[in-house]
Amino acid sequence: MQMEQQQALLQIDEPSFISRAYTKFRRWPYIPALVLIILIFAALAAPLISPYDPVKGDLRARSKPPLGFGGTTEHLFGTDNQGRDIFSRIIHGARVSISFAAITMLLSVALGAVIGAVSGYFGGHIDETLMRLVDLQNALPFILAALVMVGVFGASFTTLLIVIAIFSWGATARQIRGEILQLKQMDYVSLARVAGASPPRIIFQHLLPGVTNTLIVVATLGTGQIILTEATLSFLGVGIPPPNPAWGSMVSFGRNYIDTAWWIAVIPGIAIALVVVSLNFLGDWMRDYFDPRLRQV
Amino acid sequence: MIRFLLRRLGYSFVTIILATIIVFALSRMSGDPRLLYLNAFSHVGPEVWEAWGRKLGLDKPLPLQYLYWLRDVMLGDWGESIDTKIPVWTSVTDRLPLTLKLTGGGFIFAVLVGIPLGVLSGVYRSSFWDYLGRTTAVLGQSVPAFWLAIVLILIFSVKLELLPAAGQGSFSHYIMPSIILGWFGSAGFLRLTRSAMLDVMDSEFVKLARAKGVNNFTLIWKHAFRNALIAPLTYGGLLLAGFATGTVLTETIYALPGLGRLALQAVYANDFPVLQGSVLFFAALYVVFAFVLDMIYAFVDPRIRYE
Repeated sequence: MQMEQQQALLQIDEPSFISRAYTKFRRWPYIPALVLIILIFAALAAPLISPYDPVKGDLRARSKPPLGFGGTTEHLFGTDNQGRDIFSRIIHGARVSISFAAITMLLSVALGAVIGAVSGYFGGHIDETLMRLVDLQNALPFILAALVMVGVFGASFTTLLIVIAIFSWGATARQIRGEILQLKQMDYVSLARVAGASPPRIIFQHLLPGVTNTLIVVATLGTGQIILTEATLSFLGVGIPPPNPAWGSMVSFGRNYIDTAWWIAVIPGIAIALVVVSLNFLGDWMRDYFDPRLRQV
Repeated sequence: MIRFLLRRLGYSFVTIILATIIVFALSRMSGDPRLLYLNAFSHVGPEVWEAWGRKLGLDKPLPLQYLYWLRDVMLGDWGESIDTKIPVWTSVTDRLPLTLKLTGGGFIFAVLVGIPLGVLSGVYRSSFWDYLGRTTAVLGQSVPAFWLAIVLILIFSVKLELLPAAGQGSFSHYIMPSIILGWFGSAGFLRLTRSAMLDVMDSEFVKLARAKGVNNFTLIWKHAFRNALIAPLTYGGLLLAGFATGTVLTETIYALPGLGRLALQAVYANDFPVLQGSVLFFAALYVVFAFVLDMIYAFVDPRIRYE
C-alpha cells in the first residue's frame, strides 16, 4: 500500500519528457553553444574548408538542388543560378557576418556602457540629456536613418558598422544606467569618492567592473540583433556590398528564383535564423545563470 | 493630468526638433544642395553659381539656413524630387494611405497573435499553450522577416496558389504583408504579456478574487489582464517606430507602392529630397503615435496621471 502510494506520488512528480528536455536545455545550452562554435570555426577557416570558390561559379552546374532534394554530395546545399556553391558561400558569409557583428557589437556595447555609466553616475541634467538621446534613437526610424547615411556616405563595411553602432547603444545604456544607479549607493563607491578618486576613475575602475555580467548578456543578445539588422540591410541592397557573400544579400538574390530554385533564398535564411536563435538562447541562459533572481521559470 | 500632458507634449516637441536637426545636418553633409540639380554635362559659371547660392539662402550662416529650411518644411514646401520633379509633399501624402493600412494590418496581427497567446501562456504555465507561446516568441525574435516573407510566397503563392504574391487591391493582397510586418511585434507582445500575466496572477488581489469564487474567465480577462496591460501598451509605441523599418521591407518584397518603398527607391536613385521627406514623415508619425499612446497609457493607469 505504502509502496503504491509512493509510486503514485513519484508518478505525479515526474515531469513530462518535453519539460524535462526543456529544463535540461535551459540548464546547459549545448545546442546553441555547438552551433556557435561550429560557425566561428567555419568563419575562421573559411578558405581552408570551403569546397569551392564563393565568388566564381561553374556555369555548367547552375541551379543544382541541395542534397535530399535531388542533389548530389558534390554540392551539399546546391548551387545558385550562376553555378556558385551555396555551401561555400554560406561559410564565407559566416566570415563576413560574424566579423561584422563582432566589431559592431564591441563598438555599440562600449558606447552604451560608457554613456549608461556616465548617465547613472552623474544623474541630473547629464542624465536627462543622455536619456533624451536614447529616446531620439527610438523616434528616428532606424532603417531610414541608415538609408540616409548610406545615401550620404555610400554603402560600405565601415559606414554600416558606424550606423548600426550609433543606433544600437541605447538599450545597453539604459540597462547599465539602471544598474549603476544601484551600484553607486554602495559603501565602497562612497569610500572611493572620499579617498579622492576622480569620477572617471570611479566609473572605469569601480563601477563598470561591477556590471560585467550584464554587459556580457547584453552583448550576446545584441549580437543576434546586429546580425539580423545587417542581414536586413544587405537584403535591401544597402548593406555589405557585393561580391562579399553576405547572408542577407544571398536571400535577396535568391528571391528572383523562388519559383524555380527555392534553395537559393531559403538556405541562407536558415543560417541566419539558426545563429540568431542560438545567440538568443545563449544570452537568455547567461542572464539566468549570472543572476538567478531574473529567472523566469 | 494637465501637467503630465504638457510634459509629454514638450518631449514630443524636443524629439521632433532634434529629428529635423539631424535630417537637416545629414542633408547638408550629402553635399552642396546646388549639386543636386546639376549633372556631369551642366556647365555653370561662378557668377551663376553664386547667384544660385543667394537664391537658395546658402550665403547665410548654417543655423539660419536651418531655420529657413524648417519654415519651408512647416509650410509644406518639402522640395521636389530630382528624379521625377513631383513635389515631395504630394508623393509622400499620396503614398500614406497604403502605408497606414499596412501598419494597421501589422499591428492587428501582432496584437491578435501576441496578446491572447501571451495570456494563455502566462496563465497555464508549462501547458501546451505555454510551449507554443515560448516557441513563437523565440522564432519571432530570431527568424528574419524578409526571409519569412519569401518562404510565405513560396508556400502560399507558388506551391498552393492561395494568395497573390505581390501588388495591391483585394483583401487577400494584405494578408501576407500584414503577417510579415507584425511578425517581430507579435513575439514582443507575447513575451511582455506572458511575464506581466505571471506577475499579476501571483498577486494578492487575484488570489482574493479567486477565493471569492470569481469564475476563471472573468478572473483572467477582467481582473488580471487589465493589470497586465501596461507593459504591452508601452511596447506598442516602440513597435510602431519599428514599423517604419518593417514597411520598407514589406512594401519592397510585396511590391506595394507605400512610403517605405518610396524611401528605399529614393536611396537607389540618389533622390535626396524625397528621402529626407519620407524620413521626416516617419519621424513625425512616430512622435504622434507615441503621444497618443502616452495618453491612453495615462488613462489606463491612474498612477501615471498623478506622478
